Amino acid sequence: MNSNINNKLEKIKTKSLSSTEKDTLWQGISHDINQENNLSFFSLLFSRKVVFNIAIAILVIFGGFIATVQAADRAKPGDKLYALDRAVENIQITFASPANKDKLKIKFSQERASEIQGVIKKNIDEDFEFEKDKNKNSNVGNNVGNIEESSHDALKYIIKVRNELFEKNNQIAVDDLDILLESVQASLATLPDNMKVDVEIEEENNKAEFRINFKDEDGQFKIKYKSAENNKNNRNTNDKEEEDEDENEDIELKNQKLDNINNDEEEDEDENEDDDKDDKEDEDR
Amino acid sequence: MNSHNEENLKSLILLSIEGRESSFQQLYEHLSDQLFRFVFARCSNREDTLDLLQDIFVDLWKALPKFKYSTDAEFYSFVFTITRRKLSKYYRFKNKSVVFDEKYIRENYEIQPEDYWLLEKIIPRLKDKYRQVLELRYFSDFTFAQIAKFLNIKESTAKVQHHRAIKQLSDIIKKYE
Repeated sequence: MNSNINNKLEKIKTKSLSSTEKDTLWQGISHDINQENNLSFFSLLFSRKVVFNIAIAILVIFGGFIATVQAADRAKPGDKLYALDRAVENIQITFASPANKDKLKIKFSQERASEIQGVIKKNIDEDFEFEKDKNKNSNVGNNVGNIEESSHDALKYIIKVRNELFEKNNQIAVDDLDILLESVQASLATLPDNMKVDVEIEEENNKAEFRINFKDEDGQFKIKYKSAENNKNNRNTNDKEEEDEDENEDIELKNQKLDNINNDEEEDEDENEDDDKDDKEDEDR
Repeated sequence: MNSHNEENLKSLILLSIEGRESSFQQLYEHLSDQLFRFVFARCSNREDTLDLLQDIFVDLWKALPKFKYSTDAEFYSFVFTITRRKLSKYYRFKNKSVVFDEKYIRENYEIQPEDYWLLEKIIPRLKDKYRQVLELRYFSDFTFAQIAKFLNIKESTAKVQHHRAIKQLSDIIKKYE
């Protein structure tokens, strides 16, 4: 019985390929593999799958970078990406043509102004929320520091650009930047008393200087910032104006009443804060 | 598949790996009948089997540079891995069915139609492991060594399972008679 079944099973084999079928099949295979061989390195490189993978890799790498740079472009003073934003701006200026350099500087000055205005608005809103709900933790101390730093950076940048353009006799751009400085001043004036920042911008020897006065809950402070390099005409006549920009930056902090701040008070720089407090107490009495 | 001795097969594989088409053609001659039976037993359609075989050999040619020869058995395993992958794709998109009528059986098999129908009824009633051994042994024309490699069992186990499958098949046929 088993041998009978074995015989039947032996015959259940599929009939083999005929020689014609075998030849035809080989011709098809040969055609396909030759097409495969003819693919050059570049056509292989740019096969759909490879192109897709490369495209994904490029998207991930550059997309991530572009997304970061775009996010940095929207960054405001105090944000983690703000330094990247400034770095990208510097790179743009470095690689710009001479004609575009000034345009970019004016554009970035406008950005600085709108950034500080954004910071001011945010702080006013936070202060308003705090006034509504006194139980909330006050952030005024931090805000004052933030405004001080942001104002200082923004004004320093705008005035530097303004003075550079002045040296190039680009009066139209200088006028625009003066208007911009005035608008920053106006914005700073809207701050509530507890984070007041007063800015005075003076023009001296054809260059802009500014000083910032602000006060926090403990009293008033005065910051004096002497702006960028002197213009060339004054450089030979005034030894002080030959000092480096960094040396010219002179920040003075004094506990003085805002009303008493005037140019004469700049001579009182060396007085310490304890003396000031004593004076204030005497006045209050 | 058995016309080449071991040394010849090895050199054919190595030359094909290097991209020599004439060697690959010889490899095709060596493998085509068995692969044809194996695929035909699973898709039961001659046209589809020929299409699938063409794809399998083209895929094998493309995959060969990645294959590192160690033994012939490893090579067969490599070939059948490609074949099974192709078949699984085919099953996913298969929408044709074949009628195993007398004409179709006479065209494709050596067995008489009535014997085919009998075996077709009985074989699915066997245990899975016995059915697999019989299908590989008779439908695909595998040797016991190849069955062992394919099912990942010992060759002696394959022979024992084959013996038990035949016995079980005889018992079932006795009941029919």
